[in-house]
Amino acid sequence: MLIAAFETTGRNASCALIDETGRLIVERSEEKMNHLKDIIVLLDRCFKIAGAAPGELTHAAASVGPGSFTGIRIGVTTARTVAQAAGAKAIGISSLEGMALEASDCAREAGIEYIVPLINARRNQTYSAAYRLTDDGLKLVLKDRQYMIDELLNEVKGLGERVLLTGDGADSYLAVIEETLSDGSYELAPEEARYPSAGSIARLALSRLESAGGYEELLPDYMRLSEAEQRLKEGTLSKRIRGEL
Amino acid sequence: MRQFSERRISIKGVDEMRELGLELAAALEPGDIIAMVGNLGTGKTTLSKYIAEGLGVTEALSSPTFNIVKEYRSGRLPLFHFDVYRLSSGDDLVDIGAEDYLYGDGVCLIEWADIVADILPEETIVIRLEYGENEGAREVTIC
Repeated sequence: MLIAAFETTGRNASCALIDETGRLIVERSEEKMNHLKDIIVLLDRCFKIAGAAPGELTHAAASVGPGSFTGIRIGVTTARTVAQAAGAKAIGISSLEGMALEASDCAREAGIEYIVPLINARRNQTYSAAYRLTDDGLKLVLKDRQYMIDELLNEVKGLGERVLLTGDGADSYLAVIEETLSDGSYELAPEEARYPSAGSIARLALSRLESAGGYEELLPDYMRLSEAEQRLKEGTLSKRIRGEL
Repeated sequence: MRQFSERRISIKGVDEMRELGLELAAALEPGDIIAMVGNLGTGKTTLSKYIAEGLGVTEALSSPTFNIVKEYRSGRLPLFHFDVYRLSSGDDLVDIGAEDYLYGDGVCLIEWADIVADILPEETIVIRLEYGENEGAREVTIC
C-alpha cells in the first residue's frame, strides 16, 4: 500500500507519501509565489526519499477544499492524473479536517478537546467547522461550511467548551475573535501546526481507504455559497459604481 | 466605515489622461483594486495602459476581453488587468480563481467592474469614465 497525498488549498503546497505502516514522508514548498507549479517536483522528492517508484502507488489523495479555488483544482487534477497514470484509486479529504488533524497533537497537549479550523474566505466570511478529538479520531460537531465570522464565533461560544483555533482565518480574524470569545476559552494553534499540510491528508486517507474510488470520481468541494445565497452587508461600493454616493 | 469623497476631473485629451494614469500609478499599493466603470470607448483600456506605464510595466498592455485577466510582472508591483465584459456576475469571476488575484499582493485593474461588483471588497477604488462635451474629452470620477 502506498498513498500519495496533495495539499494545495492554502498558502504553501505540500505532498506526502504514506505506507500501510503509517511511515510518512512530507515535502513542502517554501516559495511564496507560484508554489503550486512545483507540486510534481515535491512528489518526486517524496519518492526519492522513500526509495519507491510511482508504479507502486495504490492510492492518490487530494485535499479537495475548501480554500483557494485555483489551489483546489491543481491538487485535485494532480491527484486524478497521478491515479490514472499509476492505475491507482483516488480519495478526497476535506482541507478543514486535515487542518484539525494537523493541530490535534497541540490540542491534546493543551488539554483541549475541540478544534476549530478557520479558512479566510474574505469579506468577513470563513470556511470553518468544529471537531471533537476522541479516541476514535476526529468527530465533526459543527457543520463544515461557509459562515459569516460573527455567526461562526457565536456557534463556537455555543459549544461551551475550550477550543483550539487554527488556520489562516484565525490569523485574519484575530481581532474579532479576541473581542467575541472570552479570555481563556480559546487558544491559537502554534504556527508550525496552524496551516494545511499533506501529512494530515495522507493520514486521513490511510484511515478511510473504504471511501476510495476511481480517479474520475475525485472532485473539488469548494463549499462556497453563491452571492445570491449570501446576505452580505451593504457597503458603499455599489453606490460608488452607480454614481449615487 | 471609511468615508469616500469624490474627485472629478475633466480630461481634455489623451495627454491629460496619461498624466492622470501616471499620477494614479504612483499612489498604488499592493492589494489595491481599481474598478473601472464606463461605456465602450470611454477610455478604460487607455487609462489602464497609462497606469501600467506609471508602474513601470515594460510589456504593451492589450485588452483582456478574451482572456479575462492578464498578468504583468515587470513593473514596481504585479499588475493584474481584468476585463470582465464576458462574465455574468461576480460568481463567474470567483469561479475562475480571481480571489487569489484580488487578495494577493499586486494591483488589480478591472474593466467593466460593475458586472462583478457583488464580489468586490468595500475598499475597491472606483473610477467612472464618461464622454465629455468635446471630441477626446472625458469626465473622470474617482471615489
